[in-house]
Amino acid sequence: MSARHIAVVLGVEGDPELEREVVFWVEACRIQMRDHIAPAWARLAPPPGIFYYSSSDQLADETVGCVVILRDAGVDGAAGLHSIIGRKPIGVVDLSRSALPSRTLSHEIAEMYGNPYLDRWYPMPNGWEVAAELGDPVQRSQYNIDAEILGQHRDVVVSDFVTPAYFDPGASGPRSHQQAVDEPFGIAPGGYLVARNDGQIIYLPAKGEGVHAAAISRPFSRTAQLAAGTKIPRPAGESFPSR
Amino acid sequence: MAPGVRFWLQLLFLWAFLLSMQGCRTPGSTGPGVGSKLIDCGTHEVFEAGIKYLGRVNSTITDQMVDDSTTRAKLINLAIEAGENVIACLLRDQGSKYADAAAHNPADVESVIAERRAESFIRERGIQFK
Repeated sequence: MSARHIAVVLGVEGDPELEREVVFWVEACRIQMRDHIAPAWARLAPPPGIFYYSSSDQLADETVGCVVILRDAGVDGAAGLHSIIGRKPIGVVDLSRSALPSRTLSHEIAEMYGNPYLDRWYPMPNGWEVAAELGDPVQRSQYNIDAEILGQHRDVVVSDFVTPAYFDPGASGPRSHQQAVDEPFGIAPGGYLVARNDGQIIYLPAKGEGVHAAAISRPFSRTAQLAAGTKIPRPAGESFPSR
Repeated sequence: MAPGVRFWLQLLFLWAFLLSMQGCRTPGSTGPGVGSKLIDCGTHEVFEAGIKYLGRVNSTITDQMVDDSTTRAKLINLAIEAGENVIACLLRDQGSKYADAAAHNPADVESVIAERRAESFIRERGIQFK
């Protein structure tokens, strides 16, 4: 099951200039999901509505995902992440660590749609399995979407994403929306794969690049959750604010 | 009191009462700026104010823990605060996007409800747009 609706909340108060940008990012992500991601991945689920909220308290249902934009999420090396709290998909965008926060938001939303409970894996020809993360292999690839709110327009940068053909060596067609990779399980510059084999989880970097070690050792990290078969309980004191 | 004088006094009171009703329109079944009037959403002022209220409007119309009449009352309060034109323009803008989301995914209950509430607020208050 995927999230039927995704709420984006700004966890930064007293910054109207930032809020003015964020509402356009959210609208661009809604259009990207409707026009590009969900049509490419039609077998997964219809597109969730993606909207901006002042608070997500009224959207407590666990089939509603929530992405919080924070000034500093405190996870070294991670511009964003998605995870689960209980059965509720959650995501975080870290403004201080993200070169392009709108691209990070789009990346986390794409992955929340494609792998909301961190439990989808695709087999690789070598016997390993790769996590069904739609943004990671092409995370530095991007394109622009025109977003309109109350008659005003903004050109918003969104993330590239991989298609079903990326995980299927027998399929033809583009492996990513922007064709940043041209072979199954390929990794574009700056991207990576999360793979597992026999209980071991590794990050595969692009050719010639170092391993992205972001947050691997942290108990709340995605890798730790994947390794544990997901569903790590929410640590005491860990919270994702909604205002 | 002579019957004739009494009649004219009653008429005077009725006229004064009707006049006072015109002067103190209160939020409720009618609310601020009610009536069939044209609203222009294309102004810079509406955009600037609208951005500040977009999140609150969306949170209000998707709240399934309250009924439609409570939602209406909350929207009227927002209209008093921000201006009815601002809230109406936001409801039209976001309402059409919720409608689009609901058309693509009928299981998206939040969008289905938000679309209905946005549309009914605009219709019930007789708002029309330039």
